[in-house]
Amino acid sequence: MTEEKSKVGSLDKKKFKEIFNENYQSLFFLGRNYLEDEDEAKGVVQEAFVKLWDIWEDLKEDTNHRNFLFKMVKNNCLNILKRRQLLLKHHEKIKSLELHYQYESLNRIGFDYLQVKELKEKIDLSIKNLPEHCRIVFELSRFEQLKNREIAERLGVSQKTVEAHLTKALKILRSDLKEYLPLLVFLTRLLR
Amino acid sequence: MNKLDGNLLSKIITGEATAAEKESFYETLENNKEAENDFYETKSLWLKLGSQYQTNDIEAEFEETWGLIKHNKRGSILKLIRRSLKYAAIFLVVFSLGAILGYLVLRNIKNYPDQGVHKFSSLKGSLSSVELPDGTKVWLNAGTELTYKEDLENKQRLAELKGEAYFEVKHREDFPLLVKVGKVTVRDLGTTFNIKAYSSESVVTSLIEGKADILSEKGNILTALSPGQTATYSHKTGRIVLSSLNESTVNAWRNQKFVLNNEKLEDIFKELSIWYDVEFEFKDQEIKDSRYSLSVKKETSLVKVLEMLRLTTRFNYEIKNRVGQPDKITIY
Repeated sequence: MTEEKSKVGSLDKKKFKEIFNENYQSLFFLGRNYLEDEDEAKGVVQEAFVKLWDIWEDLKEDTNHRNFLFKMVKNNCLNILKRRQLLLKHHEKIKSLELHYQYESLNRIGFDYLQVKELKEKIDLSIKNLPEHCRIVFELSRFEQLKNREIAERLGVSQKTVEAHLTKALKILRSDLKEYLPLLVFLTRLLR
Repeated sequence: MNKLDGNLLSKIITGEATAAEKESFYETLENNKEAENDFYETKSLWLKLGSQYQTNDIEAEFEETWGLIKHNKRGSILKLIRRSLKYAAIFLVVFSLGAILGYLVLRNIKNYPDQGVHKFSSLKGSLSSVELPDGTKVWLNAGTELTYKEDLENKQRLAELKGEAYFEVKHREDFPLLVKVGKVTVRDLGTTFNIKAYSSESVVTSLIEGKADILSEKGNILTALSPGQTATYSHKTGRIVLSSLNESTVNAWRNQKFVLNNEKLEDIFKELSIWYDVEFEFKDQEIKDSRYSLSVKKETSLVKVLEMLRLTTRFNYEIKNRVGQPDKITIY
């Protein structure tokens, strides 16, 4: 674990850049996944970093800057999702349901999101141990971000097969990594 | 109860699902807790597995962000103006995201940078949340107006509110936040609070966390609120009545619900008219004073709300659609 209590002294450009390089991509990835818009995701993530710089002096000694960044991005994305849901017309029930469940799923992602890097070896191993076809399909989808159709074409199989491999990969990884990745956070609610 | 189809789940997670598949999927989640949980876990897994392998041009991204920061570091007055511009810029980013959404958002939250005075307003029928330059978070209920400025000379932050807002104040001992609402002022002392001042008769302040004072026009302390208390100030009598805070009522509007406890029909309709952007008229004056409790989600249609109210009392209504102005609902 590198920087659990990383707030040592003042923040200069070099240190700030380290923090940036370490967390930017994961945060952007999260924002883009939920907002489905690159520019908007970028705005949210930039805002979090600018804010971190601004309030560095005021951060409490024990505040973890990663948690701060994560919380800023998560909350801003939640707000945007909520706002989008509010702007929907009454008859757009499906879109509204979708936004609702996306919102709730983001709400359940915890601070450990940015700590996944430290589990990289374990994750890589689990992926490596997937059945071969499963692994190839999974890697093409996840890391090369190909659409199912493109994967099917490239491998000369049907889209249904691709879907089945992906489903299987997710299932195996989920049970394989269960003890390493707390998948959900407990929600404390104001209401009720 | 429908079982969750694993293939469908992975299609949703990987963004491959068609509209029809989405419909069937999200409807399954609605009445299957286990499926809902499966979805959350798998989505979380998918995100965590992919988060580390992105390849943006990180150097360029850093320089861009660094540029934003450098622009922020000027003299304090410049900084204020800069900040106003920065907020304008953020709204512009939102704007560029797509004509329709951008248009709607901009209509909903207006932020006019004007010599350090920030003005935010939410239209009828929509909520918005804003972050003030000092980091304070404010949620604006429908039809609310908030102005904010930093008075550097007297070392205070001044806000003025019309409508209803929920504040999570970034507390600064040396730079207090004062919220002026009609004839009274709420002074934060490290605080989360809700102020409701839609009607011209009263200002209702609920303190969730921290400390807050309510000040008279002359600046005398009328009352010092403790967490869990609600103070209702009456403009007519100039007096404050304290009661215990009803958290579900205070938080309801931010969760897009109306929760009204034993309120007069007239007041209920006042809130409904702000949310649905309609006008109400009472033909029968007596009915105005009957009291109701109501808890509905805000996405519920107006007609449905009216029907719910009618379950417990007898009134009739007529809706008149009007062009260019809010629809009018007559109660008789």
